[in-house]
Amino acid sequence: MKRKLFSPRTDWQLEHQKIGFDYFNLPSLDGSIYWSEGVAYEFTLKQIEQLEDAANELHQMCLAVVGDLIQRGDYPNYFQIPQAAIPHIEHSWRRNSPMLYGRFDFAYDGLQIKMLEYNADTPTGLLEASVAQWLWIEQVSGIANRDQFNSIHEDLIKRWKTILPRGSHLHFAACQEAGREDWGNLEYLMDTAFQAHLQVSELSMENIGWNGQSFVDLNNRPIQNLFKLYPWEWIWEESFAQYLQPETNWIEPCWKMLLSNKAILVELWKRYPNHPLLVETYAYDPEQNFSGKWVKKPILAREGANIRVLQDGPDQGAASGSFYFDDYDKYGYVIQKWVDTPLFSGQLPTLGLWMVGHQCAGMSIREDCYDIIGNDAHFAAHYFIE
Amino acid sequence: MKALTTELNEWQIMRSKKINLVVVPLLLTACSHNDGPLVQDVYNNQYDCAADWNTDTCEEENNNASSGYYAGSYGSNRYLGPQYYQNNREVSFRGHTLRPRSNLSVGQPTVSTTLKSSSLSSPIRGGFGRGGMSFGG
Repeated sequence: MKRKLFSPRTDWQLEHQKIGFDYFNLPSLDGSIYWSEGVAYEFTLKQIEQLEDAANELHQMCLAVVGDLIQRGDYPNYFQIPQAAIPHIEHSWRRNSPMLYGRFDFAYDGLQIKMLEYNADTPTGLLEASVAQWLWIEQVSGIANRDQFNSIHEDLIKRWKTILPRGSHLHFAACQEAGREDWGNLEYLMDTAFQAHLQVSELSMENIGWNGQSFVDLNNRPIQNLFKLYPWEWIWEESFAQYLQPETNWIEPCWKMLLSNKAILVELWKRYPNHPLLVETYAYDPEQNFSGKWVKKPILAREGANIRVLQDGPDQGAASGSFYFDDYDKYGYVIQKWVDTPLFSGQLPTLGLWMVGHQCAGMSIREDCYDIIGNDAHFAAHYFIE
Repeated sequence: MKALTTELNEWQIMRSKKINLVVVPLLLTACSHNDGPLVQDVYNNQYDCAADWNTDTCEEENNNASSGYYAGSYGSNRYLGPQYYQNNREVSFRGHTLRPRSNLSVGQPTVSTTLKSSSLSSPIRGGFGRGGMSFGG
């Protein structure tokens, strides 16, 4: 695994615009932009195979844990699952409601893989992972015999075809005030569904209506299938949650609430203690002191928010790169053993391994000079050589 | 894994397809209200119900389906007004919004357990959503 520099492509900004990746230039605090043109990570084929196998293995481990929890009907308090959600979680699991996608975040030093978390409900960064970095490897010069671990786009189209019959109407929704990045992700997914011969339309979550019988769109047409880029835990806190029926066909399905919750890391460590791909993780207990260096993570948070460092017990403050958002503070926390990853030219890369259905379909990388990969991180392409 | 030589016809199609984001103004302020359960006003007679609403929107109460009576009502022919959401006392009727002219109903509105298609209210919106930030991870 190496961090390499390349000459920027001619008109690379235009290339991004052409594919709808018009948020490539979101600004970072240091004055740079989200897409790092000219930076890429090089891997060997063996390393890629190792990463792919790890993601597939971890996904199966996660499914086994979810299956166990549902089989027992016992959801530990540290998951903070709303009671009303439980029948929906169980029903969606038992009827095999299909998942579309998810993204593991890995720490990796070229040898050892550690799973940091599983973004199983609302992962973003998809268009750049799927299309923008593929375009980069097509166009970049100076790398002989290169290839990229990336069949995300084709696999998404295939996956949609297994989820819904041809011609089905699928609505897509995100929060009205969500940023361009989120809407860009949503539109990209909508495009893949369109290519899978589904009828598609989009609306904001706020514009979803209830007519007393069913959820409806702005034309008052019933919403039978909905892809929502909107966290399940928020849905359950909102007034329309009372109208959700277990039969509701929403993607991601409700059972994903167990996977997207960082409490799943506690359950994984319980079931697979000392597994080489896992990081030691426990439910946070303020009365208990853990020796060594740990990070305290909210069970329900995104983009590296509200992460703090603990050293031999006491709180050492916010981890660098983590921002604070009070909405994520109201649930519980887990503590996860600190993972030391070597810097690459002063940058800390986090690898995103994309699951489409139940197979790993590709990889993306975000890097930053901070310990936590958050909103300020940069996207770097990758390639591998034989 | 995908070989670099893979044909890219599919995403070339995607690249050529432009999807515009449709921004629709909110009809209701997000998360600022709750229109409550579906209810019907209860009337002692058809005349009162029609005076509030419209004759065609009133129905005689089905005693078998009813779940509760107020004192002295047993055996009388009560009428129910159209279904509406408790905090939004209006319905869509023949393409127009119908608001009651007065309130001659008696007791508390009865909570409906089944929606009647002939009296579908305009959809309520704004029951999902929160502003402030992006949330993708």
